[in-house]
Amino acid sequence: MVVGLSAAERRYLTDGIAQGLRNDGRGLYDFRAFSVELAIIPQANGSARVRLGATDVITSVKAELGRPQASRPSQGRVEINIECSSTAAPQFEGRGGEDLSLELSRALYRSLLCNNGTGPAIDLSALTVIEGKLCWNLFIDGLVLSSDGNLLDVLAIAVKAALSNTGIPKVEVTSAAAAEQEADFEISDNPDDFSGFDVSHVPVIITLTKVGRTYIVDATEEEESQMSSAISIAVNSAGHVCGITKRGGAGLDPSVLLDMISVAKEVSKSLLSTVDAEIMAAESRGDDQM
Amino acid sequence: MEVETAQEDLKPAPGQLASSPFINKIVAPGDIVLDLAQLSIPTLRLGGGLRQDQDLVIATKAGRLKYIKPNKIWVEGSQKRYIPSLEDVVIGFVVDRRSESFTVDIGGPVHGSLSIFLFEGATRRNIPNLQAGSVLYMRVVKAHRDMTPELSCVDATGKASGFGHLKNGYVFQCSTGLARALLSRPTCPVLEALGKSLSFEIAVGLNGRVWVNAASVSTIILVSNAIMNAEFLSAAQQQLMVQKLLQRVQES
Amino acid sequence: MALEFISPEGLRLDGRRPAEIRQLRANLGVIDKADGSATFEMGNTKVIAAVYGPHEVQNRSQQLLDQALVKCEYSMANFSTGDRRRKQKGDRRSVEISLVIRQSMEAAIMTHLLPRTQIDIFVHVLQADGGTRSACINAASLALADAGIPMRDIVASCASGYLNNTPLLDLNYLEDSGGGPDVTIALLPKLDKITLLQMDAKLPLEMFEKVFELGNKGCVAIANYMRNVLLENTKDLAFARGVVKV
Repeated sequence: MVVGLSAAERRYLTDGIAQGLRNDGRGLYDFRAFSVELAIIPQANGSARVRLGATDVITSVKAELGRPQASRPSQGRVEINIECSSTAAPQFEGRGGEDLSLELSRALYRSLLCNNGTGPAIDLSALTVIEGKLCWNLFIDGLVLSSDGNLLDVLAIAVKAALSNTGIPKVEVTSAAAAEQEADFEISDNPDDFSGFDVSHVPVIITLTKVGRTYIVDATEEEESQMSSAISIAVNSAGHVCGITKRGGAGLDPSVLLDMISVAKEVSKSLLSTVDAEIMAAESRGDDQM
Repeated sequence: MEVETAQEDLKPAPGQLASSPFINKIVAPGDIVLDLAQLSIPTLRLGGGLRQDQDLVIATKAGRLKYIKPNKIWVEGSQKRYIPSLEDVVIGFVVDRRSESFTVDIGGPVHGSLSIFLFEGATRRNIPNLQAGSVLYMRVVKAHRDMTPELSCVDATGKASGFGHLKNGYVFQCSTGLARALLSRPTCPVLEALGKSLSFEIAVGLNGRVWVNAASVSTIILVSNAIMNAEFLSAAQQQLMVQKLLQRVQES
Repeated sequence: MALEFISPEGLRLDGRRPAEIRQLRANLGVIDKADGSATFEMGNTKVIAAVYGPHEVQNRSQQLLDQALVKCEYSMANFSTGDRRRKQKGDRRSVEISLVIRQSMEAAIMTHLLPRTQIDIFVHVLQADGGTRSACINAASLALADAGIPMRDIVASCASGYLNNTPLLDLNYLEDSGGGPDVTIALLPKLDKITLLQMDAKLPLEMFEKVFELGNKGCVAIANYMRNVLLENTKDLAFARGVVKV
């Protein structure tokens, strides 16, 4: 549904935020409650579904063996592709969602891996099997099923959850042949014989949306429609800022920017612990089912 | 629980309408509700969610089959999208202003039209000063599928009687079913519980829009959240939920 | 040597009997912003459908004066198939399936009641294991009912096939790619009208009758399941609203 707001609603929203009140009763820096489900796509190596309010996303991680790039022989490759399903909004029909999809994919890539692939989230050299010959390539696919604002933050949580759920099969190299020859290898078909991912370094993203003079965390779609600009800040468990993306059309005062970063750092502490707790809870639920 | 769903093998029975086995049952699209050939009533008035195919009356929506004496039957369900019908009260906002009318978004399939003369005391010289985005409480005076719905801000006697411009406050969207529950009598439990301890103004449109205004913003937030939460709760749960919300606000 | 699709005991690869449907699961109202939505699972095939509308026609030149404009878009998630493939929207296969879904739904929607409006149906395949078009039609049908759009009947769809000299109901991916014929049917069960019929490969006429009959039975069973889900959901709503006293 297109957010059509009356003048009264608009004023109410912005005035409320200026007074530190939001229309769902949250404080300015509060996240909505969210839930995590793991391993919902059986044919993927790892997957997760995260629901935050009415925002609903699925991410999957698929690992494929491939040849490393000649320029980086000792590294695997990671691709992030986000798709905005037209089920989330009629505007995404046809090619309508492409711009947003690309913006989200790039922002995630920048925060998790950075442009030269030395980012904080995934250790690319751990993906190498035989240097220069064989490596794992990770394909991270995200799908936005329903959108009620704050897509980037939710997607980052979902990627972290999906990676925590990812198992990569052990590869047995049978003949370490000469440099020119193709290597022979065997993929272990024992389902217990895989290596997991350490996701403790994967950052979360906190988007601060500026409405009027104030900025808020985890904006809903209605609130986003009133934003002047937004800053997405990726923060990891060590409190390091891992990536910043500014979105929205209006300009931003540099002094406000530094304030925003310190707020994001503060918020990230509690968010990271909630995310970890939710992932743990989802894991134990999954174990019970088996 | 008394709600029963209509069984697969249920067949329309001969005799009186009131004795039809489908009355007050939940029906689904395609269910044959009545067989007119077997009924002994001269005229029957079909409301929304029903269609006639020769002698058969068939449901076209999921909902409860309702009946009012002597001969009105319809299907009452809950949906998000509003379809205008005559004499509904609705909340909308002005989208555009033309020389003779305002174009109003009422959340339906098409925008409605509100004549500038259908306000209390309005004349050609005294046109209400409404800007795009103004919120209005109106009733539907013409609803036909081939025409733009026509709205009015006066009752049948030309008095405003509550209709008109809603100033300030907050508007939120809920399902049409919840809106109907809020307007029905006896008073919906959530409103009853809120009214006991808070003072606020509320206007509910059958199009699923609810307008709330109160002295403080926090009251508005509390009232609107309580109503939105009430959607899937029973009467006792609604009262409990309101009490919890009130407590939380008093503590902080 | 062709794959044996039916064991000597008469069971299929996934343990089903020849005329057995996979496990069905459906949920209504899964997308908050949509006017109607549903997920539908047939075994490992899982799709989600959303309905927006009736709303004003976006492209005025497409407006129909005597009936509603129904639009449909089918897409597949990148992770929906076994080997990951990046799919572009609007390839020939998706366009065809979009069309097929739209036509089956138009047969059920009472479009003449909503002239000059538009109804959008979006279906997204989350997991594909054969029978996606049937699952999409079923999901779309439930989403329309959830949106309260007037319908003549609930459309239900099911596929049937013929492998190892046996008619099989509700083929999964392995059976679908087994080289036999694949008959997809969509049915308006109460009116007993077919709204979709597609078949590939070849089949003797007398066999077709049997396979078709089986598919029809499958549709009726699925329609019953869908009707129950819809009634349960409506009942829950009516109950929760205090419309009904305990």
